[in-house]
Amino acid sequence: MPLPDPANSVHIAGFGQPTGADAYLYRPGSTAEIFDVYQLARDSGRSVSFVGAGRSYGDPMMTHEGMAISLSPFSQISFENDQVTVGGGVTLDHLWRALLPQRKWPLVVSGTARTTVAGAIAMNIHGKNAFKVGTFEDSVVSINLVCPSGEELTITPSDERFHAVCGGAGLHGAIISATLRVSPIPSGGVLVSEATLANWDEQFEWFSGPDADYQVSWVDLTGGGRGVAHLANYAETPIGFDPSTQLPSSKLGSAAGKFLRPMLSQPGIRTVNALKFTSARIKKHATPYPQSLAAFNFLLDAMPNWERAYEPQGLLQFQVFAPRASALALFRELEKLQTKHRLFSTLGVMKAHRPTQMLLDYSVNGFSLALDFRREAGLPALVREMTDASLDAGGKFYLAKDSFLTQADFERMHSQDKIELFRHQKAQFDPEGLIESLQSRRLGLT
Amino acid sequence: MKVIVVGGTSGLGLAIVRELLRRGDTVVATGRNFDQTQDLGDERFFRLVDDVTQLESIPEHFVQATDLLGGLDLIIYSSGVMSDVSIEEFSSEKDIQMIQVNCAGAVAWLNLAAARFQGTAHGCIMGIGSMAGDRGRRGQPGYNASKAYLHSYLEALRNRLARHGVKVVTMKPGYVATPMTAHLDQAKMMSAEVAARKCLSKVGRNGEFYLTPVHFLVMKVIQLIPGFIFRRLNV
Repeated sequence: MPLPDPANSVHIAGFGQPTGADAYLYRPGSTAEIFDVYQLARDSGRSVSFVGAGRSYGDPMMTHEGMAISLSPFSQISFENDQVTVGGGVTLDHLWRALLPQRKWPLVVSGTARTTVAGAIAMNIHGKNAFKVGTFEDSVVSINLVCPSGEELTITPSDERFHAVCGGAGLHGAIISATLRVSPIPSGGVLVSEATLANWDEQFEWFSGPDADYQVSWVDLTGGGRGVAHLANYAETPIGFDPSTQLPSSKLGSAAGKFLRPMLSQPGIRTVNALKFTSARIKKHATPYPQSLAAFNFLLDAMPNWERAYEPQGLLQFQVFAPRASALALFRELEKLQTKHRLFSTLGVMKAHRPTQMLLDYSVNGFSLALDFRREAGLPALVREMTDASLDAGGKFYLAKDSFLTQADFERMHSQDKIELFRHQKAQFDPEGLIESLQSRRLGLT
Repeated sequence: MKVIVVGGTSGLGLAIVRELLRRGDTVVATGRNFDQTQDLGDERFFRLVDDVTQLESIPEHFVQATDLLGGLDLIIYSSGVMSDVSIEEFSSEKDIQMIQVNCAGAVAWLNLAAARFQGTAHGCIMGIGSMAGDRGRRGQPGYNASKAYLHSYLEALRNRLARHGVKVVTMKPGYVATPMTAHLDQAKMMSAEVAARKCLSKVGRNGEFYLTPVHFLVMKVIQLIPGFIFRRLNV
């Protein structure tokens, strides 16, 4: 029997997770080498999963003792008009740095620039402009896929399977490259307006305010939905500094995690949130202020290793996407449940969304609320109740942020027909079911 | 924890397996004869037939073991032989057998574990050495040297792997009541069960450990005895 080499072993854990799974890591540099890894997996009776930058919060990138493929060697970037063809291993950080000198910007970016293009497609990420431009798949012109079926395919939006591959958690094959539409931008910056909001009603009112290119709001879950919202529009004129050098930064640097740790106790969360809200009120920006696109978008990169603040228990993120009609009531209910369990989210972020064409769609015409928690005793019970309340309200969940859904939950979100169609289409790319993950097994996708 | 015990079918290795299972760990025991493991259930216990002197089969067995466990947190190398050598006997056959089991088998298993743990950046390697490896004594040149090799090899692994967060433990038991010492008077020896618990209490530490403070003190004194005196002593 061919054997994987123990020297290829690696421990893969989701972002901020205390533990994950051991697997064998391979970095094939060509299509032929990807097929070789598939063959070794087949011959040694192992599953294959794809690991990007490891920024998903759950377990879609691993199986115990499986073969994890990193596509980092696929790192080319080439331009043609308003499109860019990029390797699956290219990170959004590399991509925006390549685009900015040409006055272009990726149509959709996540809150961290560390994600890879293959991961962005597999998870169908979204950004602070999701309500306006949709999710990452809306920027994808074509995807080049290397499948366990032995095929190399170019999939475009006219192929119905495209909408399963986007957001398909990498279960169809290696996304070695993709062609993306990019946004022409007048400058590398945005003009940001800040508003302090006193409660949930004001949050929802603010989101239905004037049109903007980006909208995001921080929500204090210990304070009746109060928060600080930011609206940004592309700056038409130069913003007064080099947009490639103003990056998200923190004076605490990579030690931020350690400093933040004591603030994550339940009394600490209340104190920090109160200080944050009050200081935003006092410092109030009377007029819009300029910021680089990188600094505005990649807030999660401002404090490197911030997730380490949640050690040793780890981080759990709960992000629900709620329809417009039920979102306000649901978010209030989630806050009540946290009060009942006396466990509060350390950070709440609200964004607006629009529906997409994804087969296993998470994005709805409505709003999402992302809640970070330290994994501590009592949290599973709270998450269970919040999940039930969300599903009752027609809410949906996003695979990149999922570490807790059950198959029954997943089947409440998506009709049996859709799940069957997903499995049927996956079988066309991967007839032997070689690609799977702990998540895909947990949710019954494989 | 997910644990491999190489040589887990008799003696101290078997006692370690029993203690691990009692604690709720999942264990693969390797060895040639599993007769003494028949009372152990098979829910968290896997038997893997392996002869540590058959070096070419060890890579496959290692991967089989980690597949059975679905991971690896701890490996304990407990295989060992101490041949009965008389005071005037020089048997290359016996000494080479001890080198094969006590040294070569250990290297073949533990190099694989070290390579894996270097990648996964977690895990613990424990080797069962011996107080007998601390000095070359007149009674057991081959055994003393084989255990000294193991101690030195494990120390080097410890120094290599520390920066990856991997722990390497060398246990230095004295006489333990096991089949290895069956030809001696076992009345005053430590039982295998007690020795197993003491070994497992050091998992996750880094360093060399004796089973009792008395053993530690005695061996520190013995190590200080100059050679010209030591060769006149009947120890």
